Amino acid sequence: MEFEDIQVVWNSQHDKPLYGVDEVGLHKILRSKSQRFRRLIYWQQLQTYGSSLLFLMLIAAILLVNYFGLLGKIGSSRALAGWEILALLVATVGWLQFSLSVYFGQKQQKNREQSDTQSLLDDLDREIKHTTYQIRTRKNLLMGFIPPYIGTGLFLLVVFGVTGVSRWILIPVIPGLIFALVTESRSQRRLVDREMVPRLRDLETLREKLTDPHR
Amino acid sequence: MIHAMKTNEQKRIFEEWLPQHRGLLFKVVRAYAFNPHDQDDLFQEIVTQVWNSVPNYRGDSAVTTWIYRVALYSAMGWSKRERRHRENHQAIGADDRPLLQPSSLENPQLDWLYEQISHLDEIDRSLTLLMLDGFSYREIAATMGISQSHVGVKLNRIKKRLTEQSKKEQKHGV
Repeated sequence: MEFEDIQVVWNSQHDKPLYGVDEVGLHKILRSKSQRFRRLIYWQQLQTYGSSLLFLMLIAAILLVNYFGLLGKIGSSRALAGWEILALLVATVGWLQFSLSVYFGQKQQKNREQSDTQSLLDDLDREIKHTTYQIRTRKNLLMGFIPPYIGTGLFLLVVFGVTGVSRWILIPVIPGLIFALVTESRSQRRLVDREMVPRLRDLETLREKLTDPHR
Repeated sequence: MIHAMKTNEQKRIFEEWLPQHRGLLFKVVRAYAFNPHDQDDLFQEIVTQVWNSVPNYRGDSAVTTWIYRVALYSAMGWSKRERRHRENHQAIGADDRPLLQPSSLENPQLDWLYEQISHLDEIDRSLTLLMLDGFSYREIAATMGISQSHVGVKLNRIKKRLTEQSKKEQKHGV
């Protein structure tokens, strides 16, 4: 090659970036990471619904047994007092409120995340919305946990009463419940700080990079 | 005239210049850094230097010449630092950035030319880039801070070396 030919080679280059983002690879990684994250959320929801169902079934069972006058057959010396029935109903409301608010919140969020296309940017937007929602719902989780924990306390109070267990046992049980409540909300807070917030930041940075007109 | 430029003004100028001259920056990056990680690193370095230098632009040379100068001096500084760093640290392995893919694979002759440029010393690399991009000896001399006659001597040697190397490789069927 003569120098003129070398100059032609030099002039043949364009001003595209040296490297482009491998969108297919990136999309795969995003989907796999999102699946992992959604599995974690799904598992937590399952725990919420499972524990709600368990408590609601136990409350229903006690109320039914009491209604048919069968409490004596399972070791109780008396039927439920009026305030105890009321306490069980309040416990039911506490658990129902908790699980239904989780259920409808998630359902509403699912509708908001729906999109017709499956492009990388759409998936990214969906994950940003989803993660933002998960963070928001966990910000005031301590308040959200209070109704089911009160429900659990009332349930235990009634059960101890009808089975003849001394109500003094509530002295260690109530602090235990408060401790569990605080621990649970702190563990959710940790999940937000250690996983969800960094994830949101990564997703937003990625979105910025993908939509950067200079890239 | 050097004056305290407002950040908004600096940002406006930077955002106008960067897309216009990014091709030039890619050339400098490719001549001084040889793997995706280093190229990314050097590109960030140059962009940062351009940003910091925008308020110092006095308008006494064309914007392209000025950006070229900032980019070349940044690249030479980066190159020296990297060399020192590599002498002191054992490389663990180049970061191949699995999410990045080359966007200009189809030009083996251009790859060859960049490879030849990479074999030159840092000053000669800058001279070559400026020459190939059509700068006059006078402009190159002003940009690099050396005399025009020195530029002429060096560029003649570089041209000779490039053409000889290409002929030698053609002869061996490369």
